[in-house]
Amino acid sequence: MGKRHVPPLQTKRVRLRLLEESDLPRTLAWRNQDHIRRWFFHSDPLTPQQHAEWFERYRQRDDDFVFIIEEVSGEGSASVNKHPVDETSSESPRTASGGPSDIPPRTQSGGFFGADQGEQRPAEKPRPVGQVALYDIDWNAGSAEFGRLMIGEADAAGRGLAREATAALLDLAFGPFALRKVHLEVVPANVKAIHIYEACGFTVTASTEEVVRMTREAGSRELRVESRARQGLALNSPLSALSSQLSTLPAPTFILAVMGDYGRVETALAQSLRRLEKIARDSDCRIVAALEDCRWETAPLVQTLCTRFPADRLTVFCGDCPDRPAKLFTVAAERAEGEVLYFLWPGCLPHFAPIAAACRDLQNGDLDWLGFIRPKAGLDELFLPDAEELYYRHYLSCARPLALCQAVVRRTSFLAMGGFRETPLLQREFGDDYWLRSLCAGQRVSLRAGALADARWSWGDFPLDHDFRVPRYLSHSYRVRTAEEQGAGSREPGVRLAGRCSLPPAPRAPRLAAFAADLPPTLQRTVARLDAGSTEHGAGSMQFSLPAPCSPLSASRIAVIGGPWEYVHNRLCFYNHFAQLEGQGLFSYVPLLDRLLTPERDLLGVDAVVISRGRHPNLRNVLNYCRRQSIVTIYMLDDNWLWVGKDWPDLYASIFSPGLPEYEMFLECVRACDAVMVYNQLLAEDLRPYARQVICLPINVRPADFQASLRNPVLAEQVAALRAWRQQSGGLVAGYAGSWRYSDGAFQALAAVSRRTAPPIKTLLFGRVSPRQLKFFADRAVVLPFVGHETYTAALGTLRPDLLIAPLDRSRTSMSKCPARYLDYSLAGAAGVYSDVPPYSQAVVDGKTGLLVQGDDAASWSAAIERLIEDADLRHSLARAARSDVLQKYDTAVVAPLFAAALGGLIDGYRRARSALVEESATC
Amino acid sequence: MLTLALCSHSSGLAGAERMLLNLALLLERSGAVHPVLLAPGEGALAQAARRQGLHSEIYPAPPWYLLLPRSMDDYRRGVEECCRTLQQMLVDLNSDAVLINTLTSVPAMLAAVELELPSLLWVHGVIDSMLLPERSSEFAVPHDELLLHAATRVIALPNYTGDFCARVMRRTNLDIIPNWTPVDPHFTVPAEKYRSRRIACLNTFDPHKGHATLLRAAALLKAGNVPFELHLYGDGAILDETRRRAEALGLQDHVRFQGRTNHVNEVYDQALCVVNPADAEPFPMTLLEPMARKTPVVATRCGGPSEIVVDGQSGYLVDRGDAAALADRLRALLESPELAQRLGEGGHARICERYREAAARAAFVPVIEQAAADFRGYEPAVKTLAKFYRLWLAPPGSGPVTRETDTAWTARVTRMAKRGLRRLLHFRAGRVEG
Repeated sequence: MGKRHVPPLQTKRVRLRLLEESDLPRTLAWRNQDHIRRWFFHSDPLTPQQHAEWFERYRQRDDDFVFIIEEVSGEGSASVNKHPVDETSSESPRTASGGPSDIPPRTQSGGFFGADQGEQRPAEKPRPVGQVALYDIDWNAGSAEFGRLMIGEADAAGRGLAREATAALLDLAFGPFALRKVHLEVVPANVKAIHIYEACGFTVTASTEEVVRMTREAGSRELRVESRARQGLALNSPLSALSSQLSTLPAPTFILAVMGDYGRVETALAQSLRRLEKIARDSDCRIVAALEDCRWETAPLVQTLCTRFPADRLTVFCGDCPDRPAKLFTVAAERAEGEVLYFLWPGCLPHFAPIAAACRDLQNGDLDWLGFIRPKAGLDELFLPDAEELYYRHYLSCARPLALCQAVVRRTSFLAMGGFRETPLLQREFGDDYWLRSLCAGQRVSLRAGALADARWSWGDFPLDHDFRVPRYLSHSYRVRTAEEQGAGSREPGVRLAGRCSLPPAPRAPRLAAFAADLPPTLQRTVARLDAGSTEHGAGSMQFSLPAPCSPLSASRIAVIGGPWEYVHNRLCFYNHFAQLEGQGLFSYVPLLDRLLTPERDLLGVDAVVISRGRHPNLRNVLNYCRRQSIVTIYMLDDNWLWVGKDWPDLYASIFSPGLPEYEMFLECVRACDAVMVYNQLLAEDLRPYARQVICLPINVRPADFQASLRNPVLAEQVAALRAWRQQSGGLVAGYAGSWRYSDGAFQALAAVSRRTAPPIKTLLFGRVSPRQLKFFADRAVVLPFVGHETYTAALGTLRPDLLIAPLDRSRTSMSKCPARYLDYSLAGAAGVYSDVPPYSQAVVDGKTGLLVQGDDAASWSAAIERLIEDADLRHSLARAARSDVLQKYDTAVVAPLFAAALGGLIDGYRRARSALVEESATC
Repeated sequence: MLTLALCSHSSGLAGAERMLLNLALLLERSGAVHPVLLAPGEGALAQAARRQGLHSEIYPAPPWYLLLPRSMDDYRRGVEECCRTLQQMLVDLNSDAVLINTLTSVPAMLAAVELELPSLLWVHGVIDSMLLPERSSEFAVPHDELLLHAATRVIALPNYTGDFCARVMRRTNLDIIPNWTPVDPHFTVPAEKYRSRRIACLNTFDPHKGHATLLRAAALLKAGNVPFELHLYGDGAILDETRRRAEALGLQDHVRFQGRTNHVNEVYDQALCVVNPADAEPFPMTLLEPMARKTPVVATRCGGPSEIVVDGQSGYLVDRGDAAALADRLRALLESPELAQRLGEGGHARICERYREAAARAAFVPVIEQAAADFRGYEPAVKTLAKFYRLWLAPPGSGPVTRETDTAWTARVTRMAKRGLRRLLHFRAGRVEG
């Protein structure tokens, strides 16, 4: 049946009428506003087409009623009877399906319904400001779900219209609709909505991390939970049922930093205090107000703190550390009581419900800290199922996604870490530094989607009274370097990123020179060494000349900009080198996430920008900034994006085709950058027509990665089982390790040999193979999942397979790749069988460092694999020779000077050219 | 004789305006300075000035910057009109200097700078979001800084008002002068005063004035069967709420809401004691005045009262919000006329010692004379600042002022406040301090 008609209903200030098709553009615009859609369980922006399709379905349904909330004004509307008068109940029999037919039209009294038709018409035309809905109505059971509530017009928000509309709709539900129960679901962080629902008689029936469920039954309006008496008086405060439930949850100690530029933060401080007051009323939390210095004592707002909070739960102290939030927080934490800490500052508006839940989870999960990241563009990938800790660290390292006020911290763990570090170099980055240090130190942490607070400012933009203006590359270098010293070495080497903190040139940040004394001793030694101008590496045989000996003030500052999944590429192409060159004063660097960076803020003081496989539109801003600031730009590519859309159109044509934005952005970067850095001659050839300069470097590998301990317990168990089997049976482990391959012959051949019994073969498939390729093996293969690079190299190094294959098709894309499998297999001690196509045909010497197979037919691959299985001596000699070859040519220690020469040469050349230009113009 | 124009921010007769009136009287009596009281509109202040025989004039009410203006266009027009009128008035009056009362509005300062007249700024207290929750500090603080750093001399009250100006606003060269009150040499204490059961409170009904604490203390007195009457004077935002609270506590028979009064001396004389339970007070006249009439006082340790009252000698001090301590002190006074008399005498002695008119005259007159004598014009930075401010207020373009343009304008004002204006101010501050 079609949708029944519901006449408009009106209260004092709002009028609800059914949604019409003409409303769709407006409701879509409301719904797609960021601050609104984030509260929807499906929070992606809707397209007009999706919206129209939904409306087509909606208008056919009789269990779904969306109302437009209109704001009414004028004297006439105020006298309208709010309550339904159902004088026509005999005319609204229940239908065969059990529900009422069309809702009765406006009554003769001109009351509840149809206020727009009667004589009491509002003085002005009602203005649409939002929407609300009842849906999933079960006419038989008398239940419905309430939701889709939003006030879309900004100037109508916060004036109680949503609450009035909610009450009106519930009157409709329990009146003319004759429902017995209305329920709803709401995001826990949406505290405003929860308060509205409580005020309208809903009570919480269930609460999890993801959702709060609330219900209101007909006639249950009076069942409000009365508050406890406050300050000895029997005055009822409007505490809610939810708050009463939450008051039983563990409450943190709120540490409020009272600091900043007085004129800008005073109002925000008052807002934060008001929020804390409410939380303190609703819970047993403690408050520590930490004043940065004594000037705050003179503000009435601070003087009267003691009147806002119970004396036994409030601590106020003056930290005497102006402009040092890290010190202030740490000192406050030392004075605080309670097990869980929550840090906030002026402008932070914490939500108690999710904070209380986070405290509970922190304690139940025995975590050291629990952080929440609000999903937004550029960070969604963080919560993909296969995102592992490595990526957390990558994010935390380069994107600063976790604000301090979005986390709860275990106090003892915090103090065990020594609190936040107080150096001025981390004036604004002490929180990010803490997360990274904590991870490196092996603390138990968890990151989740969500939010614990709204914050007007993060520490990145908080209006401090005095800003030390530390360039980001400098604080990053300091963070990474000193994180290593604090125990990162015991963790995966992946984030033991290189980078050397060096003092910036005096004209750019002269005030920082005063902080040299804050550098740790190792850094001071480095500075001294650099002053002496010594370089410890040699590069005589290289085709590039090394950059001139460096003084501490001439070390180049590099920003490595990439997307969220470029960590491994960056690691191999840059971070390995930076680590290798560490201590030589050549480079310091900062990794940045392409989609989140702001050039003016994040690229302050850098000498060169490396864009790693970039194609995000924000890079246009980066390029423009670099052009204006005369910053060297280098584009790094290790895949052939010019061909990949043509070679594998099904997978990539939708991205890498001329005219498409990402492809065009990639080409724009290639054209605009001063140089393009690649690792394959074919790729270099292809890019040369577009690029100003192409530099082709060898790929590199760190042997130490293959000797690292395997930390993934599941994988470690599987690897141990394979090793035990090999030891017991005397068999061989043969297989494939890596990502997708688009030719099947090699896998068919591998599947065939897996049936051998003398010697017995265990087939290994480590990483990504297609379902079709997997079928070749029936259930005989040991399949290990695709994992992060550190885990992958550690697993291969631990397992040491006997034989591995690396098929590659003859597409231009495949032939433009790096010979990474050759390097990995060789350092894992395996003999390799490779396709006889570039890059393997250029890297592998057939019969000496591996076997090359022409074509993709299974027979050729079988012959090569069988040959290695049968001939143990050949297998061993190939493995030994390959390892030796890789160590000679591709070890990071060997390639890093080349990299330094190339990068340093570019920067030096650029500097020289710029100086010449300046001199020339001066002469003219 | 110097002619000093005393510009009031308001036409009412609340604490700051009463002090301005008192200052005008003090200067008139000094014979060294001829005061002209400028009141914004006809009101209680102007009437009181006329009654006292003071020279007073009316000028257009200046727009206040304490709250973000609803319409920047109206604000600009108000500042311009007020400034223009004041300039003409100061010329006509042949003023030698201008005294600006309170941190509330800028036209008087702009007029003084443009006429190159020395300016004295009298700061009576600190207003922040605690005292005025609707205030926008982002808008108000730059204005405070403008006044504080442009003024030739800044006169502030002792205790946290002066500290605030110095520490937070970075105006270091301040003249700290406490408030004062006349002491009647022929005053005699009414008979049986110290056996009265009447406790008086003259605090405005504002959230920070401590009425909730006082009612809790009254409830404790009632619970202890101590006979008393609590007379609450004045009005304000929380008057109704306070009535309800008193009813909720069952204090209908003990509490009297008396409304505003202009006969404060009668109130003091009839009361056993005066109580000021405020959470924040700069330098309250409602303590100085009763002490001058030998009325014991009980106040909270909240800035000014801590300066005025010596606990146990010239009155009692209790912690903010401490209803039990307040009830305890009131009970002691109610139960011991001797104690009440001793504290009343002590309070009177304290006023005579530190807060008499003669002391204030001796402090004020040299400051005014020196400001006029030493004045060599405003520094270029200050003049630039004044010009900048006028530019800053320039209208956002032609056409009708709509809500959107107002919003954009407000954003622009705030942005400029953060950058140009504040930078100039700090530049000036640096020079002064350097």
